[in-house]
Amino acid sequence: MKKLMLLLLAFILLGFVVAGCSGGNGNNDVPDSQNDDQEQQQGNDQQAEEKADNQVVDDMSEEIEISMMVRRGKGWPDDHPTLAFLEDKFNIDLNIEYVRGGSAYHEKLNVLAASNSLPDIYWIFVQEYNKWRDKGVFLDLAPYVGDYPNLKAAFSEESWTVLNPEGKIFGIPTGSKLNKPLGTMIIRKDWLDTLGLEVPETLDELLEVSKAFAADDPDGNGSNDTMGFSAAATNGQIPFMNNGGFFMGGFGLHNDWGLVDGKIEGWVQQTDKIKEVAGWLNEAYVTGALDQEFAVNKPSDVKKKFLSGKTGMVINNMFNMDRFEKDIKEITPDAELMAISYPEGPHGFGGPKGPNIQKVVMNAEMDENKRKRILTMLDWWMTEEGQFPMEHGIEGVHYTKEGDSYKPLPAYAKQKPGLLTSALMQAEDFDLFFKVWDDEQYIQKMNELIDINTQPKYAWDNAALGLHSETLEAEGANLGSKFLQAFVKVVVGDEPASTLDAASEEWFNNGGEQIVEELTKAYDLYGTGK
Amino acid sequence: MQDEKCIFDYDNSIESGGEMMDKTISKRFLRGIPLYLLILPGFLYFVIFKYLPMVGLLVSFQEYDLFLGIWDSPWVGLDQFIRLFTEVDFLILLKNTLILALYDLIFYFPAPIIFAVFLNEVRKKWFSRTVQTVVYAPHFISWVVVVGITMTLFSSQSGGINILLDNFGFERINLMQDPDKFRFLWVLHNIWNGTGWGAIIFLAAMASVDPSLYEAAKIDGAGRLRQIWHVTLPGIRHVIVILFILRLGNFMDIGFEHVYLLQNPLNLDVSDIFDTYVYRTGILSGNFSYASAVGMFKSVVGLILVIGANKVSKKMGEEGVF
Repeated sequence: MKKLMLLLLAFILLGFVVAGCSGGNGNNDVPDSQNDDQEQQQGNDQQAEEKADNQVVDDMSEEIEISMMVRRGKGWPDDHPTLAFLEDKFNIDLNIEYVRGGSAYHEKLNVLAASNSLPDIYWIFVQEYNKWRDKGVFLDLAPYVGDYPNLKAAFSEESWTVLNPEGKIFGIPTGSKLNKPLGTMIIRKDWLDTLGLEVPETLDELLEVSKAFAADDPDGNGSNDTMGFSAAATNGQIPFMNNGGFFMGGFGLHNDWGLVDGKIEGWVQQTDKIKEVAGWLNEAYVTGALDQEFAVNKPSDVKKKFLSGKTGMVINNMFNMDRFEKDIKEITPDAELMAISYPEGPHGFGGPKGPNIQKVVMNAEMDENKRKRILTMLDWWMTEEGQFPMEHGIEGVHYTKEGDSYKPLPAYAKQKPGLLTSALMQAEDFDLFFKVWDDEQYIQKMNELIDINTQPKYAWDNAALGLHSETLEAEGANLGSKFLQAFVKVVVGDEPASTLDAASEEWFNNGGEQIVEELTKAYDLYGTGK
Repeated sequence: MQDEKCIFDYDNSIESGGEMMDKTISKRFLRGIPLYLLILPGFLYFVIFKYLPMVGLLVSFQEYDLFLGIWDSPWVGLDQFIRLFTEVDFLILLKNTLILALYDLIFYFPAPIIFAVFLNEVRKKWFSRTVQTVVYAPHFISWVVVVGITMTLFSSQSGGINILLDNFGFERINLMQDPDKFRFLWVLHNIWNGTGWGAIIFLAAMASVDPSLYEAAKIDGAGRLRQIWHVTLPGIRHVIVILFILRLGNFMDIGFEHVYLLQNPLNLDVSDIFDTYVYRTGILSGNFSYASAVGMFKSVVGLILVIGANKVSKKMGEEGVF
């Protein structure tokens, strides 16, 4: 009996192992099904030839499985109404994978690429886009995009062609963020009023205000627990409220890369100006205006400290302002926030450091039917008729409509029907940031902020935006963190400013020189020309 | 064994020649089938998850391209290793890694042994059980939480411990920013986190020490400390040696997550180790070949240490691992 049991156990374990192995072979099924698809495709091709004259239209009679990956930690549940609506409308089975942005997304992309299982359509970082562009991984959209006028019109010609070789379009540009900055400087107006301070207009005034926030107890709780602003020393960024851009420009530093005499130059090379920046930050650090723990902070801490009433300023997306005010008011009912324009520095203005160029790509290994179905969906999405549900959700579930007035339902905030618009793609039209039920005052306020942000004097362009350099890819993270280390040490006063000369030289000698050369070459080929 | 031999001998006597040999072998095999089946899952586990992935080490001799795969990526010989050894930071990385490894060996490795010895001396069963449970609970807390708690407690402005120090007139401690404190903080975390868990195996070993030895020692007039020194410690010596040798195999594995979480620009000089370096240059930048070359270097160092320690231990009359 015992023996029998043992035997049984052995077989069960063996079963697990076999199951595990066959799971691993699952990928082998893919070519088979592709063959099937190809056969079907041949059939469809015959139909297509018949219809060749009047544009091949997908009749959507066949259900197609589409895999998608978007940059968002938390996604929709499988029974989300908007998802069901999309699946129903386009007769698709949409499998969306949600991956948190940042390094987790890079890792996921690399793993999927290595195992040859990239999704049908996915959001991609510009680094991977550049690296993989010429490897035949992305579908070239150039021959098809003309058939989808709404999709084509949703983005400017420049957005379509940027970072693409002549005559090819390997990705759909996404985001109105290409040139339009949403980052804005938010300050505690109630603190300014309490201490009787003016709104700071220059960086020197900003420093004075920050010092006062740290020393004069603006929250009136009797203890010395406030500071001017916080920062996080993340890779490659000057630590300043999480967005060095507002600041580096004021001191005349490049937005990562500038163009000097036809050659790309990194901000790391501008040592004289960096020393000025370090001196300014050092003063802020010594006086307590700058968070004493900035070197240890993670980017999210900067926001957290502002929301918990520890700091008086933060830089964040302007569309978060209302939410921030609500959060702070839970702790301090009198809190009041205001957005201020970028302070002037000794060498001009800083501008917001815009996000990188973003792309959405489609898998090159895709049959014609699937390609058409996806592009049809995207084309619809970029029409006004499509934008509406992708932004506001489903009538009766996420909002109600009475006559001409719309009202959000509780499910709207809970289910976030606009998720794909922010996590995958959006047209280059600013109005999309507003909901149909937003009141006019709010829209006006936001539009004013956008107008301020887009003033030409704040323009602060990255000459090498989105350009590819192999050395930068391989060594950039390491070089950047080494330079930042030296910079932070100077800011906290552990080392003299002359350390920065040595660090900059080290950066240049250990790879910076090649990076600059490669970027200059890439600039001549693909540069945004600004 | 004896019985088996008899049976086979009996077979031998009635069968003849090669045919006979075949039959015994096949018979033996047939009899062993249930055992082979039992061993199969474990065998497959090692082949599939431990040996097959070693093929991936080939990557460290290539310039691995994601889309070409292992077989089609260009071979570059020892280039990745040359890059590693000529890296400006190589010596710093090596130094930091070795120092942390030594701290671990000197301060952390003995901690569970000492703890287990003391716990073994506790007479009240309920007390020793409670202490053991409390001490090994931290093992289940992830580093993210451990580091998070430390940061909250020692936050220079709002940390509870710093406020307390301030109130009593002491200076605030800059625990996270100070590079001099990094290594001790790291090893203290390790001790707090791993002592209880590590002690389990030593406690088990102590349970197997013959009680009559203690009685004999008592009759000879040995006190508590003498008993520990002459009975308990020799009793678990072989376990200590084996665990020590195995630990050397992972000598260079400092544990990426923990160090990475404690790392910041101010302590990078002492906290940058091979694992964090690989994360930056290998994983984040997609240099998989380079990353695996560094990993292989670490493993080779571990292998040499294990073989060396094993030899030494055998020379000194102890049992080795193999």
